Amino acid sequence: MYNVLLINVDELWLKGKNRPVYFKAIREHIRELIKAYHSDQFSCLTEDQRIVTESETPFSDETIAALLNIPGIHSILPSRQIPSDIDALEKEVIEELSLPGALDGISSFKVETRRSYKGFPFTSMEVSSRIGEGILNTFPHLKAEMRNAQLKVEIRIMKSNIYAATRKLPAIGGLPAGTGGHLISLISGGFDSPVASYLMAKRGCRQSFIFFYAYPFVGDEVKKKIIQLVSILGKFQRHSRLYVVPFGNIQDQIAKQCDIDYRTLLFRKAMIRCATLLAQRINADGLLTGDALGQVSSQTVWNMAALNQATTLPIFRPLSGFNKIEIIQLAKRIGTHDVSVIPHDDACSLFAPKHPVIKPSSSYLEKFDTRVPLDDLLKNALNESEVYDISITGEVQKSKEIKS
Amino acid sequence: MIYLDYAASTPLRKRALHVLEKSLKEDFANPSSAHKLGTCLYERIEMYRKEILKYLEGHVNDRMVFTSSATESNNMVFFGLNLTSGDKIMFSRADHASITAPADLLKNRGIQQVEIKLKADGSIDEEKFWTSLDSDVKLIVFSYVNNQCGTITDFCKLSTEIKKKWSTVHIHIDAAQGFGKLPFSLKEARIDSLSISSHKIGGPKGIAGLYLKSNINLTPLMYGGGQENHFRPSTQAAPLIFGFYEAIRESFETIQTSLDHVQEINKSIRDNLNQKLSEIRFPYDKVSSPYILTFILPHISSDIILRHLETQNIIVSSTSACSSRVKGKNPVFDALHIPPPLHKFVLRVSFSHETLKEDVEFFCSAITQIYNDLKQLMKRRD
Repeated sequence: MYNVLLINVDELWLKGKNRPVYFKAIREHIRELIKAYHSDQFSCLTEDQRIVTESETPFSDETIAALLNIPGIHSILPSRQIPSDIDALEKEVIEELSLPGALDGISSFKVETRRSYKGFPFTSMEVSSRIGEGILNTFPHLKAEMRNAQLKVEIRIMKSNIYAATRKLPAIGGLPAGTGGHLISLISGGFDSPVASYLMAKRGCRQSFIFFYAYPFVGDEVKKKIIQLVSILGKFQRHSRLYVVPFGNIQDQIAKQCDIDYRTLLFRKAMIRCATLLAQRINADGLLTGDALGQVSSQTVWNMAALNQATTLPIFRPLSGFNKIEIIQLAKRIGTHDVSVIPHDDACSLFAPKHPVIKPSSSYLEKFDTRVPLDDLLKNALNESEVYDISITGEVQKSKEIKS
Repeated sequence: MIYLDYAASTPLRKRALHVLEKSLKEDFANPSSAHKLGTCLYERIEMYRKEILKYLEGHVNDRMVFTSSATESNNMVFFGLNLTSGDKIMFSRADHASITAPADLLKNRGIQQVEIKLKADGSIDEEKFWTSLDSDVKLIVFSYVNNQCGTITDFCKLSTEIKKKWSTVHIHIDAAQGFGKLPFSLKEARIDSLSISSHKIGGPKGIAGLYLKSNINLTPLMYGGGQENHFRPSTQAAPLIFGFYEAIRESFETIQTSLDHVQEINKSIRDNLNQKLSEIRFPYDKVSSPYILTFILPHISSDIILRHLETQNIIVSSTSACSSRVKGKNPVFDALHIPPPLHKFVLRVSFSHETLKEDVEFFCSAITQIYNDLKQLMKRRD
């Protein structure tokens, strides 16, 4: 039904000289994604600060939904392709506005027409007023308003067809994928880390996911859950990877040799170090975690500071200021909630001390590092990790590439 | 590798493998064909069918239908008896899913369920059983050996007693876990049907059987070329049947020596673990098949122990599909009187004639070490 998609790009007013680079990145992402979903040929061009994609066969709902997840897209206007006839145009616009939910909460509208094909027998103004009248007659509760209209009907008159859009679908916004650097995203089966990943994906950060798999303390069901999560998160990425690092032995070693109260912090420290090693190998620029300040006792500012000492890279914690409820709401919106709620064994909670350290002693941490050197274990674990490719459509497959 | 999950499935017996390999190559013809390749296979199948009936000590007119699995055999009975609304079926919630799932489906068609209650040791509560039996009961199902806990039901005695009073009720036995392992004779029983399985006794997967008493008629699940006396049309899998027969033959030839061996293994594990782990409990050891040993080891989730054993190449079953943090109920454990908080601590080991004494000794040491280590590790400071 929708042969043309008008795609608005987000935050462009900020971009100045970088604008062409951002446009290029976003257009390439759009092209690649449409190719994965849409079997027919299509064009994808920049017109007046927005991207227009066109195809002979209509774009499916699935394709449009996938495009809405592309970072940097502000909104999409799916447009109908209508024969060059003003009556047909009016009929189809009314039809579209009559669809269930199309006018929910809408009380004002305006019609905007652009006539690229000057041979059309009506001027832009004439088309706008004719269609506006039609809308007013059919939906008497609507008001025509030039400024601040809640609904804009956009009409473009081309040589062979007319395109009309009545809906503006909000996309995730932000910046184009890959323009914000490359982060190692530490992912677990909970609510927080997937939401953190989404937030930074929105800011254009390309991500490689790392999961610390504490087999034999936890089992396959956790790994399956992580794969489901990165499959959802992969849709906000343009190709990414998941590294499943065997971590049971490392946790076992730490737990056996440390003060019980330091267990959780030292596990997390080992994870930060391992993620840093991966970052060095694959040239990533920073780390990303789902920490929310004070959510659990390991997430104190003092513990976060101690973890910052374990790496030279910046650690992004986009959820620092989020309440749990807010995180869960976001998780519901991006679709990770229903996976995160699946119960599973969690190695950290198996080992969890009753009174985890809140203000760690830096001298204890230093002493532990000298007493229990983990470098080789961490390197080996990384070498042994299973690597999965996450496609642009979110399909997760074991990587064919040989381990790094 | 130390494999202690024979109740789930078994490796092929050497002789069965040999027969299967040869037959897969040579016996490609269709046993229903009129030419000599077909008729020859047909005759062999019929011969083995009779031989299997002999092992069961059934009547010469009784029938053995080859199916693809014991699940299929059980389903054939549930759906083949043409039960109607108001009829009752009796079975236990501790039975295999291929009993409980068809029963639940039939419930939607108005067929009532009467649960056979078990006692805490896993045996049938006979007092309750007799009071819940009435003339509306049209089908009674017993598991010869329960697949989760190993408890044995003396169906020979029970069926004889039932038929004295209720001669028309259909008595079906799921013998997948006992056939070829624990001797029984249908001469001493008054049952109407019985399921047997190949892959539980060292035969190939994909083949099983349904014994049917001579006067029993079942509506088939499928329609086609009329094979298996119309009970189960499909081109007969001659190589699988031959492999199955070979496994049966060997199982029956060695049934007593295998049983003696497994009894010894079972006892040695119980003695060994009782000595090493004071908290271990064997709730069903009084009335169980020695081939299956179920125990409860509290405090550490069975899945965690299972995976730690796995890292040492020891394969056991936790019999619990639910992960240790899932609060989901396991209806089988409920029926077996395991309190819900203990569901996640149940482990099952199961054996065969091949199980080595030194392997189970190694298993006992390994599980003791793992259990103690984990308990130490999961201690929290107060």
